[in-house]
Amino acid sequence: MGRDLLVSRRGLLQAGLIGSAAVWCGGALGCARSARAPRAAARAALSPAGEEILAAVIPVVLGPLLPAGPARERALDAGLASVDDYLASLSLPLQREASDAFDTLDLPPVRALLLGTWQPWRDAPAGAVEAFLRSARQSRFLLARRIYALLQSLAVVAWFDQPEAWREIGYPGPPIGPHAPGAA
Amino acid sequence: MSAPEIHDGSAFAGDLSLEGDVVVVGTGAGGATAAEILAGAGLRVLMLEEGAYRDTRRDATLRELPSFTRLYREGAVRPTKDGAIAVVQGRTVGGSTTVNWTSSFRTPRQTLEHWRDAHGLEGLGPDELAPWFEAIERRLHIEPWPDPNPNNALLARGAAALGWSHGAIRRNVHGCRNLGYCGLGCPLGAKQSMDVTAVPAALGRGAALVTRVRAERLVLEGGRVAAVDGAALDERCVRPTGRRARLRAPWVVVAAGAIESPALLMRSGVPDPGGRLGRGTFLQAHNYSMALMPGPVDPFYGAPQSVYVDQFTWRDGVGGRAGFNMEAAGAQPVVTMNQYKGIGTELAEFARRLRHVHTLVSQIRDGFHEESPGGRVELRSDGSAVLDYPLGEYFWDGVRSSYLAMAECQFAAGAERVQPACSDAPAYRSFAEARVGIGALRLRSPSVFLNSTHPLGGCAMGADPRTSVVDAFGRHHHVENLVVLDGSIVPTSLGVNPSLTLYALAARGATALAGRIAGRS
Repeated sequence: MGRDLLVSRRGLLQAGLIGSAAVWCGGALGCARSARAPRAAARAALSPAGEEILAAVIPVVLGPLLPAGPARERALDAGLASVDDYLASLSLPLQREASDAFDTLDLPPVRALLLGTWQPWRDAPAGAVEAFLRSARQSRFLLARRIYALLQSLAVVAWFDQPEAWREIGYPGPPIGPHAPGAA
Repeated sequence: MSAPEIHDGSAFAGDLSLEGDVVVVGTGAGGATAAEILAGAGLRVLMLEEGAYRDTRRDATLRELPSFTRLYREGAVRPTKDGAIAVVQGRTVGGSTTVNWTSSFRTPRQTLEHWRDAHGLEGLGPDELAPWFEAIERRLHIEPWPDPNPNNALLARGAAALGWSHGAIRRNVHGCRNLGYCGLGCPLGAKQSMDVTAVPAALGRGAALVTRVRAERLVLEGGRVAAVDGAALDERCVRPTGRRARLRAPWVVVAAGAIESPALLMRSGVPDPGGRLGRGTFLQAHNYSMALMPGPVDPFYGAPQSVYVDQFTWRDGVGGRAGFNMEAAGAQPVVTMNQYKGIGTELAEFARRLRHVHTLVSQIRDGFHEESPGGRVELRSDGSAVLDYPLGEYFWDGVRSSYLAMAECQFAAGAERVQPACSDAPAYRSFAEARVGIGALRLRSPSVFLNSTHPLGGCAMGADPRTSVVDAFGRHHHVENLVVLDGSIVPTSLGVNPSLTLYALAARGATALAGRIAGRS
């Protein structure tokens, strides 16, 4: 896995992320996604593809920082809601760019090449998602490094904005206001 | 006293039409300063702002993401065209002054002399600008900060150990309690930002404020600006609601900031025979170095910037290799962790030591060398602006030398480990190791984490109408009743944080404009 695999996938990855092609493919292959039931409440800006991808990426990026058990689902939902609110504040051209990128990464052939499995992002083995992220981080291709930067950053900012994340990293919270220690 | 006249675009029941003496587009450092002066001269001022008017004293959650989405453009990460640099700009009443870290510097002598020599700008020497600086320093309570937090104290310790030139940063605060949340909008109203100073002052003198309206174009008639047309926006300031605003006045001040001011002029077809509009946009790009210190730093608390290092800003001469100034960059978890580019266990181990993280930033000055021509503003098909800012070897040399200097400083201050904010860089255990590692580090985007809180230029001042857009008073070279007064008018980056320079240039230009208008009536 890793670097060489991503390099060998470059043709498809590069072709696939060209904007208009991405939009067209996303529409044509939309049925591949529609088989899965939508999980969460309606989002303002985060597309179903973006939600699937981030649901797979956030646990890998945050690793042992995410809580285990039922708290994990709640933490993930809170993180996804934060990403959604964040994306919804972007200008419409940037919202479209993010949405196109997610749609392309969620195309079954792209997914299969990146993750080495035909499973949806959310069900892909964490090891496959991690191997993809590590190879993208080091890739000699700008596009792959940009994908790493986007996914890693969204996962990080979504999680560390949660008051639930703060205790483990030693941040007591703001000294005043609704999130201050001891505030109701 | 009557209530202030404020029109919120998201609540428009119909289209809005206003008439006054001067329209001011933008309420940041330039626009609000100009509005206060013009309203004080007895003129009816119409202020136009794309963002909302939020009272950060009541509104602040002190959570980072919701603050970034409400108070900043593009959630504080407006990407350059190739995604290499995230441009950080306020989008709220007060503009970037509402969210800046209060670091206030007079424009360096070297920068002003370069403007005179390379851009023919007269009347902007240190002595000539001194009265303008003094007036703003009094108005905004700009004074040295006596109480550096550990993040800043460590910078001073490292600089002192190495014998580097450094000093105390002055801040525009009044009643500051050293909380450290400047970037989220001051929860105390202590920061003397435009939303609590010049904007309310202008409103008190009869100015009107139109918020959540995006200036789309200047309406040109007979070679003059006849009106400013805008689109009302929804609550998030993102989607047009379909309602419109038209503001008419015989004089128009554009102060929408770097990128947006040139874009507005470009969309409007303002004459640009020299082809200079949007060119020469500078970022003074910021790169970061993260250290783990043996003792707690608690970077999330305390005034974020109170110590500067200027050892390297001009070390190779004004026109030499890329120089940089160095400051502390401690902040809350989202900002701090977003500079850390690892994943999984590696990231978790770092995050669990967040209290010990010490962060430095270098701001690499651009625009003083032929290999540093800055970026260019382009319009997308929908009229929105994007900055094309290519990076070259000259720039990467500045990144490498500043990574080295920051690592040296952090080890001199006692760091256990130092790691450049770059997804290709490992953590180094000594400066000897860092020197070899950083010397060989592959510098490429977006692996090198880069942002800019200092976008400048695009409507450059200059003596020659063929090579510049406005004169030293912000007067447009080709449209008589158009004045530009904001960060877009400076012809290079500054070598320091820009707010005080922009206040002074705007005060000078607005005072001249008030005199010009009085002379006509």
